[in-house]
Amino acid sequence: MANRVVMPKLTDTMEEGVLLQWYKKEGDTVESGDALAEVETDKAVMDLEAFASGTLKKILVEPGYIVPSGDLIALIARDDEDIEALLAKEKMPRTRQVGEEGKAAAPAEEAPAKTTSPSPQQTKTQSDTTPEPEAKPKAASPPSAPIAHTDGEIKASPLAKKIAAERQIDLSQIQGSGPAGRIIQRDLEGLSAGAIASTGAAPLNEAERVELTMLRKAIASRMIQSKAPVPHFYVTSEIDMGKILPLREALQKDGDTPRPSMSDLFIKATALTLRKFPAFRSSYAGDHLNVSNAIDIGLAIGMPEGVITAVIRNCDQKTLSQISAEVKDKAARARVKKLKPEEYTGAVFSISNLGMFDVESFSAIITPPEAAVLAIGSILEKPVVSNGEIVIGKIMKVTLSTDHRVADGLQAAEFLKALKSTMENPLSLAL
Amino acid sequence: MEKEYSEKSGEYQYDLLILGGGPGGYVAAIRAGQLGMKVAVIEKEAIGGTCLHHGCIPSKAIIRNAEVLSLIQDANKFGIQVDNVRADFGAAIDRSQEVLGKLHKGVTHLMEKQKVEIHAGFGKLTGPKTIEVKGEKETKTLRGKSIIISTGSRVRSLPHLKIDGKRILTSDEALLRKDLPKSVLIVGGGAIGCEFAYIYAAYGVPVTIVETLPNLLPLEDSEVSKLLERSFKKRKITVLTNTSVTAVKDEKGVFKIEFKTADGESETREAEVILVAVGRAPNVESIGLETLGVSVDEKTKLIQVDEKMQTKKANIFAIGDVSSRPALAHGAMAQGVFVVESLAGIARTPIELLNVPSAVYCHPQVASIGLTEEKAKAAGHSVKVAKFPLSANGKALALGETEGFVKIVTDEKYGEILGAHIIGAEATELIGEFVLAKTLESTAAELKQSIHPHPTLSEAVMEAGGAIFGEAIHS
Ligand SMILES: Cc1cc2nc3c(=O)[nH]c(=O)nc-3n(C[C@H](O)[C@H](O)[C@H](O)COP(=O)(O)OP(=O)(O)OC[C@H]3O[C@@H](n4cnc5c(N)ncnc54)[C@H](O)[C@@H]3O)c2cc1C
Repeated sequence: MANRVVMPKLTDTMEEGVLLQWYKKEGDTVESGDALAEVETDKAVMDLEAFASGTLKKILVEPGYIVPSGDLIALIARDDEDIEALLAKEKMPRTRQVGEEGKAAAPAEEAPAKTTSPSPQQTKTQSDTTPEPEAKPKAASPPSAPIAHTDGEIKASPLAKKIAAERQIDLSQIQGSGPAGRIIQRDLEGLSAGAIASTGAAPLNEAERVELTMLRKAIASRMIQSKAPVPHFYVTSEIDMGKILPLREALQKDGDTPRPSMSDLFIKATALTLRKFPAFRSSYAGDHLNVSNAIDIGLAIGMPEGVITAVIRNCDQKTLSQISAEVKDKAARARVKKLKPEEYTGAVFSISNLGMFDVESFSAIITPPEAAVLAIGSILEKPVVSNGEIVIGKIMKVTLSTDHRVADGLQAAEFLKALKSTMENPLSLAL
Repeated sequence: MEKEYSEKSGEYQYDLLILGGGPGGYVAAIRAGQLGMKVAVIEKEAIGGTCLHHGCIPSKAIIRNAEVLSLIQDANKFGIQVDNVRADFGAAIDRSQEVLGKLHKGVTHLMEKQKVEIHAGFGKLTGPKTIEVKGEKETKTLRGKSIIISTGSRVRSLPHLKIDGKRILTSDEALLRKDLPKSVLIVGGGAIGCEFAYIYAAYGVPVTIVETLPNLLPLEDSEVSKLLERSFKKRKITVLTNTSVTAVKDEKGVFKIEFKTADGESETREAEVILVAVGRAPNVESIGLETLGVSVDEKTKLIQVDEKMQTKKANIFAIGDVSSRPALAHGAMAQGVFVVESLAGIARTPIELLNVPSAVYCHPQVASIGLTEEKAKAAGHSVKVAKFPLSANGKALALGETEGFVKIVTDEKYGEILGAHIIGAEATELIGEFVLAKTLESTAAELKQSIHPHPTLSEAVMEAGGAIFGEAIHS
């Protein structure tokens, strides 16, 4: 399947970007996460990263051109994939050369007309057989969120299309949960045009206002608000748990203190790491960062209806047993929906632990305005080299998702290195 | 082909243990095999469960015999004179056993192909990850990371109706009984009761069917139930709704059955045989649930599960008749696939019981999906309903099967299909179209616009879609 590369919306205010240079050329192999091109926004020069792996099959915009956010600029596909048909259906980017001021962006090239309907004699023509007057938006789409996709390429159920048209929701901004990303009714639950039109770091209080019984809806809109406008990147690291597991067992045997869970240990270790890395306790605010000095960590608590983040405040100043006790209490209350709003909002960094579910590794979605989230997998038995010998080690994979507007790969790698070192030499945790 | 046996623990090791090899269990096992899991099924009787051996399959085979007989009886309507029709009911039973025999072989073969191990014997959970299997010769313990309980259900009776297997029967005995009763009284107007009423009536047995609730098929849309009752009466089936059996007296080989109606009137009728069809009891006893803390609902006795079919124990799931109602084979199968795929990390949306279609194979057939008109209104929808009668459908006329209709319940706002209710010829096949439409979230508009072959019964589905907008062509 071909993957579209569009001019991103890297900041709240970004409407268009200048393509400064391509790092890759047509025919190059690209990996998800590779820098594809350099892009200048109204505020900064940034790298545009690939969100898919494959071959860079087609470049549609030359360096030196300005492109509106959301317009297609390249296609990544399998090496042997024929993209001509797909290209024929695509709207070509609206470009103008740097220096050409003020002119409204105009299509560089009209996409081949696909609107002509087949004549009745042309049987079995492959085209949209269902004319759908009801599905067309009855009212204009919100001006702040231009529909970047053409009608045909958004996969959505007829019901979802009707709901979107009526509520003026821009389907191109929605991640579908149906087969192959098809947008279905439940993806639109609790959404209105406003929710989608507002991009950028969403104010926390928007979710605070939502009652807990509407948990699912809150998660849905929150994740879309995060994933669409926040450019995520992911760095994974392996941690040798050889030392921390015995330590944990020793602590668990100690009758008086609450037994620390894996999450508790990570909260403490992350708190210590966050002290040294202000970027990961900050939030992006357009032209500056807001750095928090309070190390308030959110822990995702799974329950049947969804997930809620319990916030443990000032984790760097608490002992492990204090953290354990607090997590235990808040997790229990989260499951019966008894957390107060201030107990599930306002974290500066989040942790999501699926280790108990036999998950090797996964990556989590950032909750704006936080800048990062740590995803913890299960402990795996793997051969490791210890004192020159191969032994079976206990390895855990952790993945850090980071807002690329706040930090980049090097900082994320350093953050993980510090966290790894704390977990592998865990005595500081017990203090 | 035994799986790794661990000397140390004395146990066989698996990724997944499935307790009960009915449609829920065997389908889960095949899917797990496809996904590369090491899986074992524990079955005390025969793979295929109630559905294959005492339910769906034999009953549908017998119904086919009844249909052939009905057609012959109606032949003169088509100007075909058939004399001396002799219907051998025993042959219908034999044929049903042949059919299930073939299917049984097929299913067993499919499981072998996926390297699913079948352990014969009675299984009991002895720990959160272990099942002890008492076979004929030996007792062994299997250990699995996850467990699916799919022990299904069994026939059930009422206190004053002691099943003797000869004159007071359940479906288990009726499906094997080769002699036609002289007369039969069926207690319970659900799917099984209605199917047997049709079978016996087609073979000329006087049938009375008694239902406590106000309608036959009480879960169906009441318009459907009403038409079914009228149709049954035309077939000389006596239908007593709002009526309960209060006493049964055996008088020299004939039962005298006393009833009370909802208005308090009593009545007496006679029958040679009583068929009890009052629902199914989940198999939750003696399988170790109590000690594991897997909880069972006090009233229904169903194992309590969440929408992911997970019990109170995280690695133990329960699917099918033992945890869910309505008791339907395809619901059990879908739940089995869902659980296995979830275990394999495939992202799935939970099975919505409302989207499990129901199907009843008596004549006229009844099938439905989603909300009835009454329930849609109660749920607060602004409901728009449309009905297309089969008497306006060309193919139904050609078939001489004009009884029935296709009814759609939509929400006015987007034309969302909330429910569909069909009664009439091939209703159980026609409902598939609504299942797909609902799964794909198509609305009445798409039904109306999709072109159906002419002449077919399926045009009635399209026309019902049109009727929502007042645009049905043929009515
Ligand atoms: C007459 C009749 C007609 C029906 N017609 C239809 C129909 O047309 N369509 C439809 O969808 N449904 C129909 N049903 C319902 C359908 O049969 C059930 O919904 C379906 O069989 C449920 O599947 P299951 O896997 O949950 O359980 P079951 O089919 O009951 O299977 C459970 C299995 O577990 C085994 N088992 C139980 N306990 C243990 C134990 N402790 N150890 C080992 N093995 C154990 C049993 O032997 C059995 O094989 C009909 C039912 C009846 C009675």
